[in-house]
Amino acid sequence: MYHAMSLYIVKRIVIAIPVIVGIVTLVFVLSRVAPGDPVTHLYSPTISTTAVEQLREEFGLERPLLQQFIDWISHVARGDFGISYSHHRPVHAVILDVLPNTILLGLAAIAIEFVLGCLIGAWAAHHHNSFIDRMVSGVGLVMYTMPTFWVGLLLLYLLSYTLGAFPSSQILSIHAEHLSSLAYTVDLLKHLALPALTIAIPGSAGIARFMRSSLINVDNEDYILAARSMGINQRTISLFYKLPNALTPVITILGLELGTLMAGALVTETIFAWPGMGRLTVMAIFSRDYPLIMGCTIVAGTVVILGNLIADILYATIDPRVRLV
Amino acid sequence: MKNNLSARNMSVSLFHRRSPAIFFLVVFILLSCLQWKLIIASIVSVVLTPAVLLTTAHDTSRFFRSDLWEYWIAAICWIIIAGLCIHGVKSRLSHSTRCTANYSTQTETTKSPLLTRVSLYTLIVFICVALMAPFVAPCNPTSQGDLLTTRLLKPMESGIAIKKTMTFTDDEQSTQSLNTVENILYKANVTLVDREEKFARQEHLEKTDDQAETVQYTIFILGTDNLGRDVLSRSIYGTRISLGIGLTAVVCSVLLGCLIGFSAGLLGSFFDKLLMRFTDLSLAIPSLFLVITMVAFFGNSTLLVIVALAVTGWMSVARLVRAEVLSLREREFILAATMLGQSRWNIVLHHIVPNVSPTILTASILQLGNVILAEAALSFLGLGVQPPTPSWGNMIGESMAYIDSAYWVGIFPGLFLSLLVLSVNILADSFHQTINVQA
Repeated sequence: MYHAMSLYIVKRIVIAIPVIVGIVTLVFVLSRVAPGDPVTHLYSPTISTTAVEQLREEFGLERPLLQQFIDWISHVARGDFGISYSHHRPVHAVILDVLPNTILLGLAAIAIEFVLGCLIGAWAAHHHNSFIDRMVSGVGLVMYTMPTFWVGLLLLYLLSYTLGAFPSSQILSIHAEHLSSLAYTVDLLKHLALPALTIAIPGSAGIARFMRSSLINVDNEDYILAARSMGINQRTISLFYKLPNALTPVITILGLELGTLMAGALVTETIFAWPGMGRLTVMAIFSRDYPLIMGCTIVAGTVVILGNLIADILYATIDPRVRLV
Repeated sequence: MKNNLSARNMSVSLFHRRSPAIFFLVVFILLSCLQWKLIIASIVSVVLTPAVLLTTAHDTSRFFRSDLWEYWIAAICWIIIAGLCIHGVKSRLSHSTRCTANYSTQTETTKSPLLTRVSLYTLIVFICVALMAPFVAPCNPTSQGDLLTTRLLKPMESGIAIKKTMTFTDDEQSTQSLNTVENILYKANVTLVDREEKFARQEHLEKTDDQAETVQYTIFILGTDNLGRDVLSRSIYGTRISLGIGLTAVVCSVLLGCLIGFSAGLLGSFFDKLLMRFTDLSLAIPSLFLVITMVAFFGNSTLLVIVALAVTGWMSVARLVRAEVLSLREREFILAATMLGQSRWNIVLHHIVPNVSPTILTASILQLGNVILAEAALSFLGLGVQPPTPSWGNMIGESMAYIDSAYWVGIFPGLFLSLLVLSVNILADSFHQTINVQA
């Protein structure tokens, strides 16, 4: 059994590698198909032609395209995306600075999404076909379709400006350096609350919907009937028989949510001035910082693919039937 | 049995029930009464333009301007809708006695849920508003008011619109040389472009003593933004961007998806594997990041936004089409058609395509919701539709700077956006259910 599991993991990883290579290739192709030359983006158009030639030589733009591509792949494999134009530092250093913030935001959002979604879904499934169920489904559908940035705007207006409960932007207060570790954590959590909620609200509606249908499906299974006929009390059946079986498909959804999460981070981080990958990407585009844009796209793509990989492995750990496929 | 189900049948079944036609009729007539001057001028303009263009000896720039085409589209739509209304009223009056007898038997099988119908009508209203934006919008969406007095007016607050009379040429003499038809067209076009308004409040009224300006009260139903522009009018024109870009991108991505899905499903083993690997690869890349990368490299134009959204949206359609084609290929009726000696093309066109079409329709409606959201997100970030063209996304994006003092600038476009996407999604959901039940 253990052998089958490790084989499955190796298989998954082998499938994931060409996808990452594909992203790197795509970004390279896009950057070469795009009008203009990397050199002309870097310096002013009034630069002399001999200097341009020299720069092109230096950047390796005179060499054949295939050679350039192989160079690019080998550089990316070593984590080297070049020098950022706007930050004047290596791209990987700039990205590594902000990546933990995005991961923090993402994890918080996923946690809220999962807990909220499962609770609401379980509540709706418990009152299956009643008024509560229909109301939850209706509200859930509305939540699910609301655009992230609008949710962020509403939260910002209601909770930050009207009630003053949460700070409106940044990751920490200005005076955070001087706080005790507990106060520091509270400050961080307070700043984290709104962006995480913004991403989590539409996502949790989707998870609640999925959780509800999953629980209702499980309810019709024979083993639940068997447990009931054995006289096991309702609470035990719900907690130990229904819940684990219903949660299994929900976990796969969480893996797929990662893509939405990265896209959500793009918008949410811009709204709340959260110093993460999304905001970095948007700012890189406005400052025409091409190496940084390419780096950000590749890192975001890789994060999503790794997330899907982890979800696959988790799913296989929980449900052994998957490994056989 | 599955052969009977086509996209057309489903849409017919949605329209078949007693619709709130009276409500639409009243709204339509009310709108026409309010904007009769504009509507008549537009119709005159669209009717006379071809005739004048063919016969005139004058310089056409004297009575044309580049933004007249939107009035022409609106006028054509108005004529079509008016025709539909007259036809509807006529048929209801003449058939009312016969229909009541057959009513129950006819509609029993084609009943669709209330929510679906409501969302369908919402979508229709949005489309009509988008097409007839110049008639529906109370003000010009890009005309700014006096910044001191009309900046960030609250919803339902009134201001005074000072209308400046606009003409094409400054000298009055030039109109003398026109013949009768040209003169009528000239006057109609002047009425149309005469929508450059300036807003001011009561206290500034005395200052304007220019003869070319007329004064009228305007209530800003949804308030104004930080440049004194009417939020309602901008939202109405924003509908056009959302739906226009959304529909175009969806049509492109569905065509691309169908092409890849059909070729994967029909050509079989090697192509199938190759194309599906490619699809999986494209699906694995977070699409908004890809769109943003494209916009970053190629610069942001409306065309590019459409292309980027189309290029990142075809995957789900391709997969669905391929799966459907593969399952259809094994069916008995295809085997029967092959045995009857029908050609490959015949089978694909007459047996496979009609059976895949409901799936494609459902997938494309679902895709429409996603694309509208993606476009709004892009515009929100400032990477999509560029100001001053109003789009819901860039309106919300612009409102971020002063959300603490003026909630209405960002909230209302977001409300419209949510409503549109919600109705599109409900529609997709119900189509999906219809297919599942009937299949």
